[in-house]
Amino acid sequence: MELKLEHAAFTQDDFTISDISLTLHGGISLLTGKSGAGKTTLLLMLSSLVVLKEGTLSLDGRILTSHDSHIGIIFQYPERQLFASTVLLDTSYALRARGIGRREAEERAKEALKEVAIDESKWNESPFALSGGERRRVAIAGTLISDPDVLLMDEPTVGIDGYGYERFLDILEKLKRRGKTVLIATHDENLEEYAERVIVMDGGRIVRDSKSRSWLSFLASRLSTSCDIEAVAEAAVEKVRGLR
Amino acid sequence: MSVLKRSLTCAVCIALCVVLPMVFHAIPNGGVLFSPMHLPVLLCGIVAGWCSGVICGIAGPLLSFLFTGMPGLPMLPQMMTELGCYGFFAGLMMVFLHKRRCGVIISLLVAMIAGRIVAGLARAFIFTPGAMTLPIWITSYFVSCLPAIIMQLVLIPLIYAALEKTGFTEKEQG
Amino acid sequence: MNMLGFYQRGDSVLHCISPSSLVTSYFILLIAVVMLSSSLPGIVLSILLIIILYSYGGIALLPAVRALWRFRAFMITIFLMNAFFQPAAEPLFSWWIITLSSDGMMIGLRMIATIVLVTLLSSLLTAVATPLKITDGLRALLHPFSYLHLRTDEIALIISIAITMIPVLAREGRYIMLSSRSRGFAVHGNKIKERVLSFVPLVLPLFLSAFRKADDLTSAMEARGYRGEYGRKRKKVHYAKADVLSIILSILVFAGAAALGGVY
Repeated sequence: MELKLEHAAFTQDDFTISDISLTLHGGISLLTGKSGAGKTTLLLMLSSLVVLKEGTLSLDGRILTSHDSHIGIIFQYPERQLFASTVLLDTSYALRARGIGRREAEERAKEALKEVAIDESKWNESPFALSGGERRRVAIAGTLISDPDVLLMDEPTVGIDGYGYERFLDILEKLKRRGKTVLIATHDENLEEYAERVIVMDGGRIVRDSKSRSWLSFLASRLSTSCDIEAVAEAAVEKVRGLR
Repeated sequence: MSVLKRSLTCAVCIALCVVLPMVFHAIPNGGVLFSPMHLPVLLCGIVAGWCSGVICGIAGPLLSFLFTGMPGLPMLPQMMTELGCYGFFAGLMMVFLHKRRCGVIISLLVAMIAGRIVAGLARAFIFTPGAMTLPIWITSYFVSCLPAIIMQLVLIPLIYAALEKTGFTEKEQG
Repeated sequence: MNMLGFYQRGDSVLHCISPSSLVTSYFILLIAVVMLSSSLPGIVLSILLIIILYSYGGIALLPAVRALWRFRAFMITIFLMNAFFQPAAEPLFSWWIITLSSDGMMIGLRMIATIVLVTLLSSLLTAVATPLKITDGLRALLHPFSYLHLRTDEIALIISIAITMIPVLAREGRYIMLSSRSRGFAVHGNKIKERVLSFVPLVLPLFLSAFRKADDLTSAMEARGYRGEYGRKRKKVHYAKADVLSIILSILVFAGAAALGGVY
C-alpha cells in the first residue's frame, strides 16, 4: 500500500510545514531529526486526521479527505488514551466503535493482546492497575487490532523498560513480516537496524531521505568482500526477504 | 491529601474548566448541552475537598471568560456562584461519605440540588431580581440541564474509580 | 499567555501600568460605571469614559462592540422581562400578570446599558493585560485578606499554575481527541446515556492526564523543598507616575459617579 503526501502544508502550534512531499511504500522507515524539527507534525499530516492547508494525501492513488481506517497512528505515550474498565474492553474499542459486534471484537482483541505479550490473566483487569510497560502494550494493541496497512508511530520506545523494549521489537518484526508500511518518528538509533529507510527532518523540511546505515553497511560489507555483483544482489534479495 | 496536592489538584481542575468546553465544542454533536465546565468543579470538590471545590467553582468560569470569552460577562457572576456552590457541597458531603460505597453519587446528588437552590436564590435576589420564579427555576436548572446532569452522574463516578485505581485518591479525606 | 487573542500587544499607557494598579483601577471604574448606568446622563458619561480609555489603550473599540452582538438574545430577554413585568403606576397596557410600562422599558434599557459598559470595560482589561498580569494584580488586591488569615498567596499560586496548565492540557486534549478519532471515536446514540458514554474515551483520559500532572508537580515541588507560599520573598514592585495617576483618576471618576448619583 502506498501513502503519498504531495506538496502539503500544515500549521500546528505556530509551527508551519510547507511544501513537503513524502511517499511511503512498504517496509519500515525511521523519521529522525532534532526536537522541534516537525516529526510529529509530519506524522499528523500523514495520518489523515487533520485537514491539510495545501497539497494532498493519497492512499494507493485515492485522495483522502477524511480519516481512513487503513492508516493507524500511535502517539507518544499511547497508554494515556486508556479509558475502559478492562483491558479487553479498551483493546476492542476501535472495532466496536466501527460497528463490529462485541463478541467478534473481543476475540480479535484477545489475538491482539497475545501478539503484544499481555498475559491472559490480565485481560479482565483494569488497565490502570497494570505496569507502565504493560499499559503501553495494551494501548498499542488497541491500534493494531484494526490491522492498519500503514502504521505511524511517534517515539514508541521512549520511557519503556528493557522487557517492554524487547516486546516492542517483537511487534516490529511481526509488522515487517506482514508487509506493513511503518513510519517511526524516533531518536532511538538502535531501531535503524530494523529499518530500510531513514528520513531526516530539520526546520520542517526533509533534509535527507536515504537507505538506512545498516542497509548501506550491509551492502558495503558485501561489496568489500566480493566483486561478484550478482552474488551481492542475491544476498541483498535474501536480506529483503528476511526483513519482510 | 497534603495541602500542596489539594492546591495543585484545584489548579488543574481550573485549567480543565477552560479546556473541556473547548474540547467539547470541537466534537461534532458535542454541543453545549452537557455543561462541560461542571465536571471538573464537582470532581475537584469530591477529590480535593470543599475549599478547593469553592476556589475551582469561582476561578474556573472567571479564567474561562478571560481566555475564551465564555461564559459571557452577563452570565459570569451567576455561573461563579452556581459552580462555587457545587464545589462546596460536593466537597462537604465527601467529608462524611468518603468511606461509603455510594458516597460519590450521593455527594453529587446533594451538591447538584443544594447548589441549584442557592444559585436560584442568588439569581432571584441579586443577579436578576424579579425575573426568577419557581417554574423558571425548574426549567432552567433541571429540565434544560438534564443531559448535563446525566453526564455528571455517569462520568464522575467513572473518573473517580479510575483515580482510585491509579492510587491518586487516598483513603483519608478531609 | 492568552490563547484566543484577547490580549493585544502594545506600549500604550495602559499596557505599562503595574498589575496591581491596573486591576485596582479596573474594579474602581467598574463600580463607577455601574453607578453611572442608573441615569441617562451617567450612561452618556460612561460611554465617553470608555471611548477615552480605549483610545489611551490603543485598542479598537468597534470590534469589542461587535463582539457584544452574540449576547443579543440575553439582552432582549432582559429588556422584555422588565418592559412587560415591572409593576407600574400608569401602565401603557395591562393584562393578567403582563404590565407594559415606559418605566419598565427604561429599567430594561438601563440594565442593557450596564451590561454593555461593563463588558466593554472588562474587554479592555483583557486586551491590555495578559492573564498572568491580571493574576498578579489579583494577588495584590487579595493581599489585605491575608490579615484575616485567608491564604491569598496560595490562591494566587493556584491561579498562576492553572494559567500555565491551560495550554498544556489543551494540547493533551487535542492529542487524546486525535488518538480517539483514529480509533473510530464519534458521539452517537439516540438516548442521552448512550451519547454520554460515547464521551468516555475522550473525557476520562484527559482527566487522568490532568490529575497525573498534579501528582507529578506535587512530588517535584516537595522534592525541591517547597513549604508553602508563606514567608516567600517577593519581587519588589516599583510604582511609576502612571500607576499613581491611574488610581487617582479612577477615584475621581468614582467620586463623580457618586455625586451624580446623589443629584439624580
